[in-house]
Amino acid sequence: MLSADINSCSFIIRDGILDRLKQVPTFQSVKRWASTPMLRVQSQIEANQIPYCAVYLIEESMGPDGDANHTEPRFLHTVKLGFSVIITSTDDTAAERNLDSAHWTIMNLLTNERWSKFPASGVWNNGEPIRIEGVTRGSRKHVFGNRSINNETPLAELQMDLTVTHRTSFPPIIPDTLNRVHVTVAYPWPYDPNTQESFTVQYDLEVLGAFTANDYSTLPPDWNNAKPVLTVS
Amino acid sequence: MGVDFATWVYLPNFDLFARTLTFYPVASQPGGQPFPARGIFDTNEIDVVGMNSEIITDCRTELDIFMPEWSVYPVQGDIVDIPWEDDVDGGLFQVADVHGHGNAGGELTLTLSRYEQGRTLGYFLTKPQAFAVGSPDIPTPDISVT
Repeated sequence: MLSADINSCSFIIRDGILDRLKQVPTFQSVKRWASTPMLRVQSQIEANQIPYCAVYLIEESMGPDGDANHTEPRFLHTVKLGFSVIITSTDDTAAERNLDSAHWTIMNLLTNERWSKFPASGVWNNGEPIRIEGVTRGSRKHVFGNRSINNETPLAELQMDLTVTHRTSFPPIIPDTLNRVHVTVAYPWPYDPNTQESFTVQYDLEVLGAFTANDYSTLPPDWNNAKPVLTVS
Repeated sequence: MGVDFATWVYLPNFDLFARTLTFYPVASQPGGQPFPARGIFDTNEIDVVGMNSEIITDCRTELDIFMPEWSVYPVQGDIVDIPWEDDVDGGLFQVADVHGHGNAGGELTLTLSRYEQGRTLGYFLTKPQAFAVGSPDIPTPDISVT
């Protein structure tokens, strides 16, 4: 299980979906799983890396969650997840049917009652699962070989994406709380120090307990756990 | 006087470079019998770019045939079996494209696609399989009535 103290929510969602796909019987014949396009896919028969299935974190955009200048930074994340399923078949009809089956299997993951929740450890999320808020769009297409369709291996690829949204907020951690105020009184105005003596009043801001602040440098920015704690004594 | 490419150029080249093969004219001559033939086999690396710019390493494979040796020219869908010969691999292929008609007189280029029964996903979708997602390991609330 990934930790939200270390990895982003979007990454945890991507990883969770990849793990779930690995459990689906439809994909048990997959020879190679991937989450990045870094390594080439060997399509020649002896390499045996096909069927290939990848779930990519293609791109993420972050817009304001509410008024951007009214509170701590809050974001509505829009995450584009890409699904690439590559198979081979000389029979293009069978290939297309197989790709469509892959697409429909992925879509049917959304019927799972817990599809939108992704467990993650960590203080940042208080141990709560990361939640997808909505699926805002999706697309797919079937691609057969290269652009000229003159490659030797009869490749067929499902290129599918789903765009999901989730939210994050980054509240401040305040280690220097206001405990005492000094007010100097000088009256009347304009003040003449030779005729009137000023005086200073000290206000102690009494609290029911003591504020303690954790070491900012060692904590993740989590509102519920890292903010100053009021201890009632 | 024009250049007789077929006799002067292609024929000597085919005598030197061509390798044997068995041709199955399943599309050009439906019901026809397979027959031995020869052609110049060539394979070059080619990349296929996938969804997220992933690179699929593949190749472009071509077979040149000497037209005067063919009574019916191959068409898309025919099958070619090229056996291992002189320490060079071959394979079973389907004709994906026929182009370069004549090549200035006497040669056809066949673009070959490797013939595969398929390396596909294990299942087509059925209801029980579709919902066997496994547990995402998220606790659900238990309701106790007291």
